[in-house]
Amino acid sequence: MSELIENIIIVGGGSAGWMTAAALSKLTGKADVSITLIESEDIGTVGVGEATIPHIAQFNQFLGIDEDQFVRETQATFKLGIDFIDWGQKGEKYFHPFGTHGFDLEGISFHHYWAKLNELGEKSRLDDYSLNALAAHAGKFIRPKPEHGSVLNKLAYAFHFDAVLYARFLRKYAEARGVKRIEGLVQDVKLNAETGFIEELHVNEDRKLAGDLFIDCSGFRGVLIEQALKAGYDDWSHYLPVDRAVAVTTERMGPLMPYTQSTAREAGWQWKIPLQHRTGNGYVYSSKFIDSEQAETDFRSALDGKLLKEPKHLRFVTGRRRKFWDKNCVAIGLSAGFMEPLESTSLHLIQTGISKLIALFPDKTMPKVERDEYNRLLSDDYLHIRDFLILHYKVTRRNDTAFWDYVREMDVPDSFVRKLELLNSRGRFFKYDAELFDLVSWLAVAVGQGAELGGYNPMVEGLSDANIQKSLLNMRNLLSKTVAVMPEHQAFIDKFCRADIAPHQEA
Amino acid sequence: MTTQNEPIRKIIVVGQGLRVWLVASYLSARFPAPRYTIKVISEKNKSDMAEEIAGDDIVHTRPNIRRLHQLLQITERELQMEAKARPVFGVEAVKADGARVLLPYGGYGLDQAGAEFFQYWRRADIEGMALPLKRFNLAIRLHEEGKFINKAPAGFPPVDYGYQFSRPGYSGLLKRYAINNGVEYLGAFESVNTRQDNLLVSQVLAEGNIFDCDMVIDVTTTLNIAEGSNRSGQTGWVGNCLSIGRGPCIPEVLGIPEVPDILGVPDIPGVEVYMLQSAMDRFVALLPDMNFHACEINEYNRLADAELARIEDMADLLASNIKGKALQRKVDVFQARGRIVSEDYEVFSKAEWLAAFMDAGILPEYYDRLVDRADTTELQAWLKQFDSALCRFVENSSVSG
Repeated sequence: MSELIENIIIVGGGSAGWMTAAALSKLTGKADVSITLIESEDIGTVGVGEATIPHIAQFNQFLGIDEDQFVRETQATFKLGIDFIDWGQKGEKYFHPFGTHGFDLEGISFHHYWAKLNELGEKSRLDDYSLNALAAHAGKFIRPKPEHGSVLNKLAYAFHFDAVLYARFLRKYAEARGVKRIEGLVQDVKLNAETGFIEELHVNEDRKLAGDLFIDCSGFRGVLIEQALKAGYDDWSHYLPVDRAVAVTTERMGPLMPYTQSTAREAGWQWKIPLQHRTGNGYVYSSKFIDSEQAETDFRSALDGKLLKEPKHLRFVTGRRRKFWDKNCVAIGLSAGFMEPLESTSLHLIQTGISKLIALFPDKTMPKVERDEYNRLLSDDYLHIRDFLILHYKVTRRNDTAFWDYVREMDVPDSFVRKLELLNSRGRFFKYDAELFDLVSWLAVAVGQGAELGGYNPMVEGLSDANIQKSLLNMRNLLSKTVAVMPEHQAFIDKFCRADIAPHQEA
Repeated sequence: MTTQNEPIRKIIVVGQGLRVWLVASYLSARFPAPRYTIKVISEKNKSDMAEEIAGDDIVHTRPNIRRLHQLLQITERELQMEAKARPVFGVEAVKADGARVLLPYGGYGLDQAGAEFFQYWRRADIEGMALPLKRFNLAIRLHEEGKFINKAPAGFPPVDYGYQFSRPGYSGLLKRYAINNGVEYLGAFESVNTRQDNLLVSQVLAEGNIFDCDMVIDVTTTLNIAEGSNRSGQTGWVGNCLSIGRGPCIPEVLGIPEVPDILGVPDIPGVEVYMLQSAMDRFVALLPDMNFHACEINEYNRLADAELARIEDMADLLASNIKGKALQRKVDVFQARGRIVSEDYEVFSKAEWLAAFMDAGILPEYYDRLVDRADTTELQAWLKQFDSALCRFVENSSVSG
């Protein structure tokens, strides 16, 4: 008979550690499994993932968290997508929305009709057919209505929130379900001489913690998965060359926008994330093309609010761990890999790591077949996201700096080439079952950055040109009217989920 | 032949019986006349309904067939009257030894607290107190009792259904729809004419008549004019010819070596129709113009190959012939703790895989740790209550057909 897991040790707090602790405590209950989380106040968290994608709502629902309470306690705002500025070419912008573009007609995807209309000379932007994009630019937000047939069903949303507050929020949740927290640092990791499994951690000089399953949420350092187990790392910086970031919080300025802003810069890009109490900012850049001093100077000059702290510099290597689960250790969060925050996938990768761990929850024997399956699934997740991130760099017409010349001309993986060829030929896209970003995303970015579709599905000719023109005009009008009656984003928050702390006040 | 950059307009479907009329009727709904012309040609010395008239075969379909009926606007009454339709909640695959295994179109039990129902059942099974697993599958119970429901109510395992048809009746019904939509049956095939670039430009009939074509869809089981030099021995899309099915190629058509044993479609009921329908879905999604872009053709073939690989995995499992990396992984992961791995582009549901595993005598050594939270007595009571509720529900359901 199998040996059941009795002790789970999580190394590292932050979003990854506390999301993992919360989810496992929800499932295992207090009685039969002990969950201990070790974290140190001395080690700051990266605070990664202030912007999210819609899947986060499923995680919160799984935990049974009330959404309005979550928004209040994490100073959250709603996010309808990402506004990309200067990516295709300086002076241009486009919106990558959650949700969909337009309405399919006669079983044919909307974008084929849109391409046909463009060919007829009636140029319009994809954004004009996205409820999310229109609402975002109008500063509007409302939760989608579940009633069938409502146009509002097309609205999809995620959140911007303070990752530190989210970790704190989940800590309360997890501790209420029996998770023990130990303040301290892992100083040594004792491995079994025969099996190589982790046996115990030495914490705070005098404390030894034995466990059956160890979850490494220690961030870039990978205290268990890399420093102790040497799982290895695939470096993807050739395709995604940004490797540094400088981040700072600023006072809130102007209206609360329901979207993330991503502005391309000389050697990378800059984010702007609105929270209720402040604005998060960061410049992600490649150290091969700009030094940190110049990057900070450029970054500061582009900020539009008073700094609440001094800028913080970060280093990273884009890529993924060769084994996310090795022996009796599972890496979740930045210890598993790093994908730049361009599409807000950090928290999603934590979430997907947790859900796969739950689906393949082991016993003490840690069957190899299950570890291999976990690693296979996670590897695919990272690969698919990598290819989508590459799209943002490869499909650019910018030629104003050495950085943009490099990414425009760099060689790219075959998996990416195949997808882009299909998309360019006639807007075709076939998603892998577990692929995160679908046609809407690939199309929004590719077209937004200036890629021209080579055509459209010939079946659109089933509708006359006049009929297509009329149908698309009706769509635009319907979406515009819908946005017009939506409340302001700020008003919605004020009514349902305003945080207690006043704007500009640091949590 | 139409010039390049223009949409294909003239499609010829080669084959007979259900296969040709299913594809022709599907295309007729998606490519309406007069903008498009769709013509059917049968194999040499055969009429279009030759195979169907000869026998009184039954054909099985999977739940996705209902989308075709919706597309064609075929009514339930027509299906019953003309095709002797009977809804089915699964198919019985016949194994090499003649034994049958039911692959259900619906799940087992209900998941609870993050663990699948099967994990609870397996724990009870190991503890020696479980009823047979199939008792917790509503689709199997409805199938065995000959009962029918449209949709499972809340609190019961979900079910879906396909149909069992009289093959000649169903072929005739689809033919009628295709003809009403403007499809024309031309007669028997004699040979094809090709261009220098190997694209097929026209079809020659037995009577000597020649018909131009932009695209040929070959659904024959013995003809297979679609074989191309780089995909010899496989079904697929080459140039302007899409082949769905199996059969020896005619080497002289495209000047390729003869391949004696063309890859066959595994003989699992419902799969034949499923593959025709999904091939058409893919074709429509990748509809070419006269340029026949390689990237679109390659994508079609990649997706078709993946689909066939998943079907072959199931056929191998039913034949207790575990080979291939993906199937071995599925078996290994299942044996460890009863988890069912999903590959990209799966055809069969988790419930069908579970049924096949159980039938093959493959059982997990253990179960998901998470189900240990359940108290033994409570677990036993829950399973009994579930079984009783299913019993009562099926008893009160109406008789199928």
